[in-house]
Amino acid sequence: MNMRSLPVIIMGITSILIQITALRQLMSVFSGNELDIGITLSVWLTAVGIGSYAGHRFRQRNALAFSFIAVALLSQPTILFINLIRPLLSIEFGETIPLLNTVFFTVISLLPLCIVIGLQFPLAVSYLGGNAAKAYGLEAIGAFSGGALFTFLLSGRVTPSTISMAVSLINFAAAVFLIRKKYLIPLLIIPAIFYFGTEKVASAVRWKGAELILKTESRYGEIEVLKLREQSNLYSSGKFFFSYPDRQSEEMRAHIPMSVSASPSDILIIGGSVSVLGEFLKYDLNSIDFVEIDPKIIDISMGLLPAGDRQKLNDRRLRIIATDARKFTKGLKGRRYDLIVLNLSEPSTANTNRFYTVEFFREAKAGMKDGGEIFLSLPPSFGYIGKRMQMANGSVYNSLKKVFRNVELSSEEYGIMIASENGISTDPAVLEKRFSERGIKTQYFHPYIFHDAFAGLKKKMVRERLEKAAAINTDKRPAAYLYNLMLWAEMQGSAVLAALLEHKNIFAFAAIFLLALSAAALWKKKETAYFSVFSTGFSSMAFSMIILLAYQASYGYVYEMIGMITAVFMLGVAAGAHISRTFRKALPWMMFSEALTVMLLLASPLFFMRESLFYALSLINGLLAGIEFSAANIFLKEKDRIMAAGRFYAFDLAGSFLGAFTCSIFLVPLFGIQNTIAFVVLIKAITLALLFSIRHEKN
Amino acid sequence: MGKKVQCDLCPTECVLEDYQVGGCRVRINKGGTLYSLVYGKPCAVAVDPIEKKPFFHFLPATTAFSIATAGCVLGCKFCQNWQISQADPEDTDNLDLPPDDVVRQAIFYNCRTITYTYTEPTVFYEYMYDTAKIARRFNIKNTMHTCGYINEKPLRELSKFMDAADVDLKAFTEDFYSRICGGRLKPVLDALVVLREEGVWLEITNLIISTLNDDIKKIREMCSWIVKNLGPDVPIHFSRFFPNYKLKDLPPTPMETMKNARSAAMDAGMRYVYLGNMRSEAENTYCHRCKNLIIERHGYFVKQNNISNGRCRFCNTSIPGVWS
Amino acid sequence: MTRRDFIRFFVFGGFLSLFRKKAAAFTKQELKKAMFWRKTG
Repeated sequence: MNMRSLPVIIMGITSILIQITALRQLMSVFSGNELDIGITLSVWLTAVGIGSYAGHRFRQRNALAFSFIAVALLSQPTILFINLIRPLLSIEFGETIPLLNTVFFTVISLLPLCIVIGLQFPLAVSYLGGNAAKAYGLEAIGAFSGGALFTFLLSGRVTPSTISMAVSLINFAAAVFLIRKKYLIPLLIIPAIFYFGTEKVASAVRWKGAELILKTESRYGEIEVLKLREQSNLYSSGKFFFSYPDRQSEEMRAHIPMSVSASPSDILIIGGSVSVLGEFLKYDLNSIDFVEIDPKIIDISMGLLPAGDRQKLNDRRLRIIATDARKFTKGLKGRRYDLIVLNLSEPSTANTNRFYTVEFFREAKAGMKDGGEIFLSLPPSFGYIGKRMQMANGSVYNSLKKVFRNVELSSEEYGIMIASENGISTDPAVLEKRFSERGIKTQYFHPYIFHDAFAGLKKKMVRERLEKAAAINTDKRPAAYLYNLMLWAEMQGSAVLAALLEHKNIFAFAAIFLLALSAAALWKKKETAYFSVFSTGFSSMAFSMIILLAYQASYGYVYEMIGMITAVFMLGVAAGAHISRTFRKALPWMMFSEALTVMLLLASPLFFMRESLFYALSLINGLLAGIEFSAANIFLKEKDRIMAAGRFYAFDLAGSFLGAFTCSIFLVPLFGIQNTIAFVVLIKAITLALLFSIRHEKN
Repeated sequence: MGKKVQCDLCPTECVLEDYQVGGCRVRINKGGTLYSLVYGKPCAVAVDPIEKKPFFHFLPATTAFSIATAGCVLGCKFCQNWQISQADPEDTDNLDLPPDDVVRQAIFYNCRTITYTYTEPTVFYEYMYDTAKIARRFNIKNTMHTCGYINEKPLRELSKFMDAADVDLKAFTEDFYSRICGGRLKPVLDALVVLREEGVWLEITNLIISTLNDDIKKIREMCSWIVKNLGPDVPIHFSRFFPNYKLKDLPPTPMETMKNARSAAMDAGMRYVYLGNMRSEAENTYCHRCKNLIIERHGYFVKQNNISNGRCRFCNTSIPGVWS
Repeated sequence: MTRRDFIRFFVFGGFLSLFRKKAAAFTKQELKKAMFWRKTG
């Protein structure tokens, strides 16, 4: 590696850094679920694709240097603009943003910067004397380092505005390095001005009528505490978590589950506010384990408590454990509970969905004493449970029923589900007696609530309604997550999306049909090569998404590792490009890598067993993609290699876009991981067949 | 042409082309005639304590047969019932329950009243009207929980059969109504006055939402208006907002705000101010004259009742409301 | 039939099938005449 390579590596590093930063900011502004990741990634890839396609037109000297200046000038405004989206739309404080606006504003905010980033690639190719494989490799190395840098160093320590300032500064420096003109140095003042402006503006306009008293980054997202009168409200990545003080809610969250349990002695509480623990500790019990993944949320919520309440939590019976609760329940080693309480939000993200699946319930059951109970609550409804909520809550109900012998429900206004191997009593009189016998003092909670929550007629009505739902929620097929997405789409008035989600089979057939059609249309040598680039973009990105979502399903928060898994993938791409740069006979290598990809996809469930194997899978996935890209590039030796590089990259990105978009939004949530793998295998098989059919064709 | 129709039921006053459905989602113009799509087709049917509606001065400790259909005249961002109120009638699972069957069921379940509630009963006006007429013949009372977004003429007509109404006065600014609900405040205030004039027993509910309508000055202004135009005897229920529908990331209202609202209302001269859904002394009724506890409630359940013949058992003052 | 005709045929057919469902609504049920409305022209 020489000095000449440096700008290309820098390009890779800064573009991945600003990408991750923008992604996290967008997630926080849109209070996003995984749909937002898909939308952002797809918009990102399309814009970059457009840029790279247009890039070959720029031939002037120093074009690459000017592109660095453009990135430097755009990265901070992009982050600032994202922070201004809410006020621009005049969205209320705490109001969710409709999907259409989410897509629209993601496009607007990312487009300028991403097009420039896209332009950079062909410019880098021509800067390196037309060596596309080298450019690809160097950029990948940069992206790998950027991803690693973010995951291990920056995440949770450095604010988005600092990162965007750093990106800006580094790009200016790269431009100065390329042009070697000192007069550019004063430009460095611009990022600094922006830096001090951004934070002020962003926090001033973001929250109407509430006062931001704390903002910090954790590895799991951006945590904010907003004050309304005396009440502090905790947000993570723009999503409301809980308020303090909120005695009414805290008491409800503790005394209903405790009263439903006949003799609670050892209790496991998953998620929620630490102040709820004080209510549990009022009881005469043996131990409480409280599990929450984000240590910063624990620290911050502890900090919100007045000294007296914090003192009360200094109790020998209480263990506070900062880990992923799924990991925790898997490694219990003989510890058993009488009562497991889920204090989580509904399964509207792939992450929270992990706590409402058959697999989790089985793990929970293994951690229960004889007659132990699991207690959870889902969003309430009033008067009528709509069809989509019926399906969403019904799939959780069915999953509980699959694992436990008895499942009891509350009235719809409370959304409570309780499951156990033994009988559960929800007779209001029994609960009332239990509660009063235990002699607990409360401010707002009163046993009349049992009569409201467990009124016979209402319980029956809910059960009848939920029993009509057929779906079961599992790790591999997150039905509850899907129906919650539909519910969300309905709530936002996105009838199109809701309908699309509902008629998923038609959608699937249409996709396969279109695929066959496009394959048929591409029955020529050159087009087939482009198609293989497209399909490799598609499959490698879809595969990456499958890996990420499978990782999420078995190990928890994906943000912690999203940078690393992506980085390992990029490393694989770079290695693949490097290995294959000297290939003579490209077509056999392309076919070889297609065939290997099919095999790898089919074998991938074996890799989902152990954490380290996820990285191996991502690496091999990248490696094969790298080999195929590079081989296809050699195969497509056209007259104008720069032109080919631009179009080539565009095809790659179009494929990647579709891969990311369809996989995260439709395929995995709708059809489950296994069917998605089958779909990707199908595409690869078609490509392989096409390549096979042209092997004797003359150019 | 000649097939355009204007609906005069609610202040939105939609003008509908042939085969167009109104903003409420349940009224359709078919060949120049307006039809209701939800007549006899409720999707929510339940038996609830009347206190849950909420009515605190209307036949305490009795049950209400409650019905609703899909549709609503407004589109509030905080709606609890958005799954029905913002749904088309063909998308909900509806029962077949003509007016006489509603009354039959109410009698079967021993309900003293039928309540038209959950969504906005204005949208199923004809169904409500016919049911109320029959119910009255069988000595069953009619009550509704409404947002009061209805024109004067239909409201006066309905008032003939309506015994009580709980009106959601959602805020006291036009800005709130237009930004958050997609409606106007003025018609709601007018409807309140009409109900008062027609002698329908009135209670008011006000949901307090942080940052949107929690300005104590405005709350005081609203209460003064009520005292002046409707009298000090109208009970008001302040209820606490919990994250819901489009406002999922807005925190629950601080308790402090709730308590401040209550004292503001009492300062303005209102005699019966309740905090809904919160266990406190603010869910009991105290005689406005002797201040003694006359109805003790635990949530929706009445523990003791010291009213006889509509009078306070301690000082014999007449307590406003419908007691038998 | 050329390849282009073939594609056009399917895209058009797809669009048509989308309309079918909407048209089926409101055809069966007997409706109750509403109160409080007037013809405007």
